[in-house]
Amino acid sequence: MFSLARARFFCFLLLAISFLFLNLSLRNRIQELKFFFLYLASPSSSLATKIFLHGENLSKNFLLQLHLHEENRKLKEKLKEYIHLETLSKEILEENKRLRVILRFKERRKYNFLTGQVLARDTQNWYNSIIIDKGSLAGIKKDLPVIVLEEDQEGLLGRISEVFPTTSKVLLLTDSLSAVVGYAPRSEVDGIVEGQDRKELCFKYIFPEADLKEGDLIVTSGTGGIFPAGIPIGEIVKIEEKKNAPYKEAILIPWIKFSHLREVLVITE
Amino acid sequence: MVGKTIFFYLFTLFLSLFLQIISRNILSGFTPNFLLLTVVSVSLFRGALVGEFFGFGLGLLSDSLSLNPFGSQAFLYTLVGYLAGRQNGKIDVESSVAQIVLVFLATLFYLFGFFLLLTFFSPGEKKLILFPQIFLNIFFTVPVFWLLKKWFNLWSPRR
Repeated sequence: MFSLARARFFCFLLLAISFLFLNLSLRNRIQELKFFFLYLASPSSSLATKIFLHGENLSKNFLLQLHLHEENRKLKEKLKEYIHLETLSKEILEENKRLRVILRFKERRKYNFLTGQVLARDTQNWYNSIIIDKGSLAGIKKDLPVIVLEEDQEGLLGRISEVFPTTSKVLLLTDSLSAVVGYAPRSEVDGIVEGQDRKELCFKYIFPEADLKEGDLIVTSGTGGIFPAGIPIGEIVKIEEKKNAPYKEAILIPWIKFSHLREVLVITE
Repeated sequence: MVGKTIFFYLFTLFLSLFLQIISRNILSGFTPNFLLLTVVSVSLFRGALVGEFFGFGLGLLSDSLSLNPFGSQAFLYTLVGYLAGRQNGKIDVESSVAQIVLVFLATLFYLFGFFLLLTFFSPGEKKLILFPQIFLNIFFTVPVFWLLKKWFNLWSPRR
């Protein structure tokens, strides 16, 4: 009962004070009191605002992260695509360049030839043979010479060893079964160029008194009826004089790069 | 002991103010009146005397942070605190139904009272919008009351 009376008393007192504030709300003293209470309440409000802004930034950053992650993924895919297109474009440009060289060569040379693309190459027998995309239907015959153009200059590759309707096998110069009559124009020396199942060729059966030097060019001699004369075969890098042998030998580096075969020319006439 | 009690109520006061500000920032538009819910629950659990002083203090701080006529919130929360505190011992304060009914009545009283105070002490046209506030307050009644009860038990054992 007493506590209820006390509660009632204080209730009226507090209501009276509040009512007083309401009536005098525009007075300066009340405004000062308001600022005082604002100052008291400011830690709560500033902390709440800071937490809210931090949370807002967190959520924005999180969403931004997600968005960036997705964008990154898409950009990486596009980049892969563009890298592929760039590689393809480079290959096409290179092919275009090579074909232009072949076209210019065709215009100034006397013999006829067919252009073939290298389809396959045996990785186990890298220096032995290749398959091209022209066969008997295109006019290819066995033993036709095959050359390659490098920087506007032809070089001997090998000869047709097997013919199928739409493809043919080319026996490379580097194959040990391959043999070509070679000629050194500077010293007017003949010999046989044989393959050794590796990058280098061997120029054999050279007379001991032949004046050969390192750097000499060896070309096809034209004898034998298969290869036209004057097609570069390779360059001498080493001369070997064997004891008790009637002939000397020279090691040649082929004129063409066997590692980079794309288009070949088959001399048909 | 008295100091600890005063500190507890002051801390609760500032905490409820903090929650109200946070909720206003997060939920744009209508928000539950956590201050009113706190006053009602403190009054219900601790009686009229504590409730009216708590309401008065909370109202003054709320007035200082708002553009309402200074003293309006203090007036209303004091009255709500006293009236809700009068129910202490008369109803089952643990009952959710009782809590919801009390909050409903307190919200109605508060909104009408606020509308009247603004009509007399503030210029311009006034609007009385009841439903969103009542619905939100009722929705948050049980969890807020439950949390505050735990809060009270944490600081001081229940009498």
